[in-house]
Amino acid sequence: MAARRNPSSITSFGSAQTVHQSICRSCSHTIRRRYASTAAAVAEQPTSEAPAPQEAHQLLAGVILSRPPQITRDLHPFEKAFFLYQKRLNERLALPFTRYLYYKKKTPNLLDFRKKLDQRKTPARDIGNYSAYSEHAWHDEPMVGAVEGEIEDVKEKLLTDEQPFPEDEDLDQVVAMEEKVIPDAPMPRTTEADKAGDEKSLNRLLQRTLYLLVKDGKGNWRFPSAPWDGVKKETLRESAERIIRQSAGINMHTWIVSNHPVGHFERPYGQNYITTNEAGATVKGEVTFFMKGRIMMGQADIKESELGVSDFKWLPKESIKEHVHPKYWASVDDILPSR
Amino acid sequence: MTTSYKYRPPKYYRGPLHPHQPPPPDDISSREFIPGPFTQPRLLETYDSVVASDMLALCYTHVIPGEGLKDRGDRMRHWVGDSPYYENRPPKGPKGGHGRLRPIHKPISFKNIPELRKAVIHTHVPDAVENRGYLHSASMLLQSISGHRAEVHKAKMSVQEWGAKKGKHVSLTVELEGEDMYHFMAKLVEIVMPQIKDWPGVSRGSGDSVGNISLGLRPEDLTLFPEVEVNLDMYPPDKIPGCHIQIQTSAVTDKEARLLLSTIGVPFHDKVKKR
Repeated sequence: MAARRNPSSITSFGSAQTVHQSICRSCSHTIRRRYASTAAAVAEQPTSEAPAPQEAHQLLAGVILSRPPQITRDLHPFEKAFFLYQKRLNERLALPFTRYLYYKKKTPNLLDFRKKLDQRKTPARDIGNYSAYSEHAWHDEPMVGAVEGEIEDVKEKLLTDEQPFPEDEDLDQVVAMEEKVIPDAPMPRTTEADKAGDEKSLNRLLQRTLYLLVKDGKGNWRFPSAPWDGVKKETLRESAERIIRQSAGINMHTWIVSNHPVGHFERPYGQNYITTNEAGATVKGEVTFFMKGRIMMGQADIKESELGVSDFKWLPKESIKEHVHPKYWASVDDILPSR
Repeated sequence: MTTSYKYRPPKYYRGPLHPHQPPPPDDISSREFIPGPFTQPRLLETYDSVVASDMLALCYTHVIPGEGLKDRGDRMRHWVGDSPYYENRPPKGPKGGHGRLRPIHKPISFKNIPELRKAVIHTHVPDAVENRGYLHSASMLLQSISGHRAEVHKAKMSVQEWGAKKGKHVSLTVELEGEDMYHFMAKLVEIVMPQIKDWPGVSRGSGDSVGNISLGLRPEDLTLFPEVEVNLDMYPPDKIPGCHIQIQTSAVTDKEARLLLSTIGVPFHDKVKKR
């Protein structure tokens, strides 16, 4: 990687400040301004100490580009059972359903509602056949293996409820009910890409956050990253936008969430690779600052990648661990939301 | 007639020393038991998995290592002097601000990411003084969009010009928290707000300066709620009210509250400058 040796992107931390060796330039500037008067007093005293050897890092910017979850997560069986139980308790305790607010008297819709209500015994359509006011009201827990409360069952019940009652032979009623708009069934929670295991697709694992991972020229998987352009003095946000463009093409609508990095990864160089930059500082390693980004539209395109990207994948958090180096993973693990 | 023993909690609380104590309200046998939650709200999931971490990144304030936060000192004004009455006298509040202590704004960390606390729906029905039907209609409308029975309030004083009479029922409120609030906010932001015509969004000037944002809906906007839309013909057209919605957040500044609401999807518009 010739770009890594680019001296323009090598900088030293706190080059002007001997007191605050370990903090960044903007912080040291702030301190200098805040304590201008005291600093002037200190500056009068001649310092006899020799300047400490300067250390520097190669600066890189990285982008953690993610697609947020699109649908709610699957509920745990306990959550399902708990919610169903609470709904049935509510049937027993809530105010009665105000039927005449929703259905006018002597209308086909009210007749249809009554027939369906007789069948399922309760106004709620998603709790199965449960009568809150009968002598069996105590029997409010589903039996082992019952389908009540399962999402597929609820979906089916709600859709069936929208259809006219099957035994209706009254012509007027059928005509009136036909005018009603029957909603479509909801889309499935898994997609074709899920079945095919297509890791390049953004239309999969809808319940999870997907992160863009790219394969660099050396064959290592990592988040898109490149040296910070010190000549142009670009901000980290500008770097992140440039890196997305250069590594994954212009066919994505993205949003860099903040101006600050959300994490960093430090990689020390081997003994043979430690160099000295033009300012006389020892460049002992590289630091990647990760910016957080979201993809709104589009898809990555690596055909004209300027950063030598040879492959890309959209992966959930646990799959990233299998692709990257353990030390890399250790520095990004806490940045990535688990869902 | 049942023969088996059935526990019935006492109807009245007769003091802490009475042998027959009612069970705590979260006990199912309690008369005060309220069931729930019934669902995992989608908006809450979005908040947990997307919004909270984005807010943390957006609200980050850099603290210089070793420097810490600037100590602003004691805000209270203590009684200084030789008078013996100053001993143990409670300190005065800061100058200005009507004597109220404003909440201290701390930098946002993982511990205090702003979140939604409460949504208060309020409607004032001045016509209810003459005709109670207006109040009933408004009450049913609020009940159907919120899922809670609306609380009725009386006029505190008579005002001749407004036709307000002291003691008459004129307004309704519903306070929503937790699951119900998340469902209500999701409906408001995803179904109602996109359909409102010629509406630039919530004013950026809205807010009480401590992180609570208010907005108003006109009668025609309230009919866009799906629960009202299904049986719109049951409401008398002239008796559909407008309402105010106060969204309370845990943010202590309006700026952060607006940021939270815009990440959720509430559109904001800048104040139009008058020439």
